[in-house]
Amino acid sequence: MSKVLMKGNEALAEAAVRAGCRYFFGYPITPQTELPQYLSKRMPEVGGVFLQAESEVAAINMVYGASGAGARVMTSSSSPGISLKAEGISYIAGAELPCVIVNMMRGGPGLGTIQPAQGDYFQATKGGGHGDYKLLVLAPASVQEAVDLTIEAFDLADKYRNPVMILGDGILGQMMEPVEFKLTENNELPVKEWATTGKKGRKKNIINSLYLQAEKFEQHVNRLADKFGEMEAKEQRAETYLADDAEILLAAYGTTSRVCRKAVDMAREEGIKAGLFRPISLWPYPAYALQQVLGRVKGILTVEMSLGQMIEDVRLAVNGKVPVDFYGRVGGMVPTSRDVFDKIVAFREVL
Amino acid sequence: MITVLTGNFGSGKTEISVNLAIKNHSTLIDLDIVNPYFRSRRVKEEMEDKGVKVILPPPYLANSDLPVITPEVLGELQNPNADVVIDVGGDNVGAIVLGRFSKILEEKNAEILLVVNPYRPYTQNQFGAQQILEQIQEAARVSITGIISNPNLGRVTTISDVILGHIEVVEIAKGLNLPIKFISCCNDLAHEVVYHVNVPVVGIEIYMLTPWEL
Repeated sequence: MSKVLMKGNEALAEAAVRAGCRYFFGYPITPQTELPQYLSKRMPEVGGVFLQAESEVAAINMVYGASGAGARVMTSSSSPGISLKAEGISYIAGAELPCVIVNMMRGGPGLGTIQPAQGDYFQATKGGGHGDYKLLVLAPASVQEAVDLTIEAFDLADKYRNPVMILGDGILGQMMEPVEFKLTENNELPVKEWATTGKKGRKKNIINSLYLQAEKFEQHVNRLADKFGEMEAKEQRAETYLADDAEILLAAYGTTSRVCRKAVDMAREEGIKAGLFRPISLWPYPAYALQQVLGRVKGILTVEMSLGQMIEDVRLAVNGKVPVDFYGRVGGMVPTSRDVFDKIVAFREVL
Repeated sequence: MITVLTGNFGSGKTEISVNLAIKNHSTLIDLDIVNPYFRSRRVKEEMEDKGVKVILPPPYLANSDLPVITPEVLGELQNPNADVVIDVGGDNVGAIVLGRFSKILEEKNAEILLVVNPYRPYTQNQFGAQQILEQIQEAARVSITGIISNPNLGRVTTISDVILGHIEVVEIAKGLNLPIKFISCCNDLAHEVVYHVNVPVVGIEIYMLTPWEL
């Protein structure tokens, strides 16, 4: 059977295996635990390693080690667990190591709730860990897209020698949709000449993020910045829905974009010209694509499961050209399409 | 009559349990201690409006991912006129909770059913189904008495998905030497499915909706 019915968490795990990932280090946390659980069964079947570490901090440093040795490697967690991994993520970016990190967000701050949220947007796109680094952040809105982006994430990580984050939320992790795995097993992975695979006559490879000479470290950080600049130019991704003639444009990613898409349909039925802008890459933010659809837009309504985080990137992208309003739910509450529709109607009144 | 629904993660236990309880106005016991979302407790009020008695952990714990079982569960099972559907969590990890009740389930001749969706990973063939069956029986200390055939690909399921999937389930059931008690499918496909299968068809309504379907 070509199609299978999978939870987002399971599908993401299988996608990693299909992408040639053979090492997974993690620590369980709701609502992403099905991902490690699936891999605990699946990795031994393909001769891979599944390891439940003693903590998130240990897991991310195992990722550092495996990646340094040239392996395709993944870790996954949910919000509080990603906070614990933040130091390691900065190290991995600093040492220019490719890996894929999954965050199935839950409500924060603190231990928060096990229900879905999008409150880690800042953490994912603006830092989280210390120093001048960037993660490439991809935000799927369906289980199939989670599969496709995960497979691509491994290639992007290798290409830029940088960690890539898949940013979903509990709904994406828990919901079930049919998926197809288009790729066959990827046996020919790129050769990593920088990896610590044993010297064997070549020059010594060292994986390191510590520089005691400021001049050298400045050169290193600037070189990283050039790489981030290239990513910013080449890796912006977005999708639009009925945006061409839209007067009210919704901006939302992941689960919330599904809610908004339905709200757009409801608005259109009432004769309101609504449309949707859905960033797929959150960093780099697809500012160019957003600027392209501003044509008839009178106002943008950003919808998030947070108190307003992505809205800052929306405002930066439109640079005051149109008013930007916000609607959000927090604490694990998910906005319904009806809520968003009501907000569209109210927003139209004041435009 | 006590009916227990077990099976692997995402096999469809919750949707079928909720539908069975509503159809028969029975009691629904939510024993899902492993799933954080899409549990039958989400539609508690809707079920109660439709005449179902719902047994759940207390509200302040209902959204936790803790193994909470209220004393009411045993009370309900001891009731001589018990008419109960038990929705169990997925896999052997979810089924472990049944071990606590294995003795009374045996005494009451409960139907312990394995829900099989051949479109789910790990139950696509007899080998996978056999494994999950053995793991559940071991964890729950009960014997599975029958199969519910639940071939579906979620919202986009077509009539041929159901029929082709059911053929797989028939093979699986034969291999496991267990009867198929019924096939379940969406209400809008059920009237067509009856012409293609020789087991009872239970049409179900989808209750576990995503936020954009509400």
